[in-house]
Amino acid sequence: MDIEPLRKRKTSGETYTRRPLITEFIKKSLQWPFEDLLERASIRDRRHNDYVPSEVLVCHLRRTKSNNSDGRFVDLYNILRDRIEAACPRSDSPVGETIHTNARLAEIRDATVDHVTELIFTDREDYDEQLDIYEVVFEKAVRSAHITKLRKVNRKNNANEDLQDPVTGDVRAVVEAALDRYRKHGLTDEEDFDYRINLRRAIDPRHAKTMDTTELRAEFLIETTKDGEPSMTELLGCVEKTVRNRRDRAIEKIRQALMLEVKNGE
Amino acid sequence: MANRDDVLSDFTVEEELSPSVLKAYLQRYPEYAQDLLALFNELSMTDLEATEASLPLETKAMNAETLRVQHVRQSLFGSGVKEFARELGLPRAFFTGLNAGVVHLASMPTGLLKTLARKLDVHIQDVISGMQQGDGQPVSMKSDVKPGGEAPIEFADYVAQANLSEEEQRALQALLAGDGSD
Repeated sequence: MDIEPLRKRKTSGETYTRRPLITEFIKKSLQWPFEDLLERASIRDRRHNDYVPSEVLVCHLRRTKSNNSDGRFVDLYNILRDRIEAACPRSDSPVGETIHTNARLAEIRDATVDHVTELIFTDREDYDEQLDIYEVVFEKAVRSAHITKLRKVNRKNNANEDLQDPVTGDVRAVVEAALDRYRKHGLTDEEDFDYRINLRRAIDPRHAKTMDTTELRAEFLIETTKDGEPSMTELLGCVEKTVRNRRDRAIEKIRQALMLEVKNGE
Repeated sequence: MANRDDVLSDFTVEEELSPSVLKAYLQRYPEYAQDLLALFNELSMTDLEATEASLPLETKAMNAETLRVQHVRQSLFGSGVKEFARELGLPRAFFTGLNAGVVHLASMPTGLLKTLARKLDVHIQDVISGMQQGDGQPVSMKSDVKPGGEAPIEFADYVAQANLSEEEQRALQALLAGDGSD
């Protein structure tokens, strides 16, 4: 039986190729009844003589495209899914008699499985070259997807970090550095827009009360006489004077911040 | 400029991941230096952990994934299906039939899997697991179809047999296109 060559090309133009051992294994395994393949594929111990490399299983999974009517795809998918999970760093570790789960690692592992699962399904609809690498170096490809997800989660977490040092109360050095980077160079219109949005977000957690007022300002009047129409005083649970003071402080802070940037951008 | 994902893929399939190979990539693609360094570190660890990873896996415990799959099953086949179906503008029976025993899982459009995962705030693999587990009972999408004992059908055939109204078909097309009107 013919084995379809992979299609993805390296940036050098060279086509991705399966390792010779894998190609040999695929040829051999194509002679087995499917039940035998499944039985061997369920072996998880790599030291076992009958262990089937994951690259071989990916090839078999893709070949089920030609026969959609049985459960072969699902059987192979379930095994591969377990193997993707196994190739990711373990999120569970035993502590005494209980199992502790590292939520961050579990989140990254799930995102990695999600990514490969999506590739598997898009490949069924129309050949997806991104899946080719999993027939060449399965575990390394999973690790590569894993590190990409990890970096995304890290970026997200860093973005959610407090702007101030929780101990000293000073603005964190990394925030200062980021601001400095912007100040040193002129901003394009796009960067300026991005910066203003980020500035709003940055101010928000530190001045939640004043920003609440600013957010509400766009939509609601401080006081309203119309029945059923909420006012800022009702929404914030404050008297009119407090609302006005908060609003004025919020506007002043934003004005100062933006003025400062305009000045530095000159 | 070379695509980041392509460069990282090329690096991953290199026969030998030595510092000299890393150096060559860093010189060729300085714009991806951080990604390459992180990947090199990760792939170096893969080799070190190979022995450990060869050990049999532990049995899965009750974890977040189990809960997410339960949520999928409850939303598609259980008490949550009424509200979920109303929210997405499709008949309840359409979702209760989205069971691996009725619809061939491999024929499920990626767009629909992604949309369902997003709507339910879970991963694609959780939707697939939920569909495989179903509600534990043989499920029929229509009262005139015999439940169980029959080979699953293609998703396209399932839709054709579902007798969806025009409005429901539009709702389905929006889901297939990944149009999340959250």
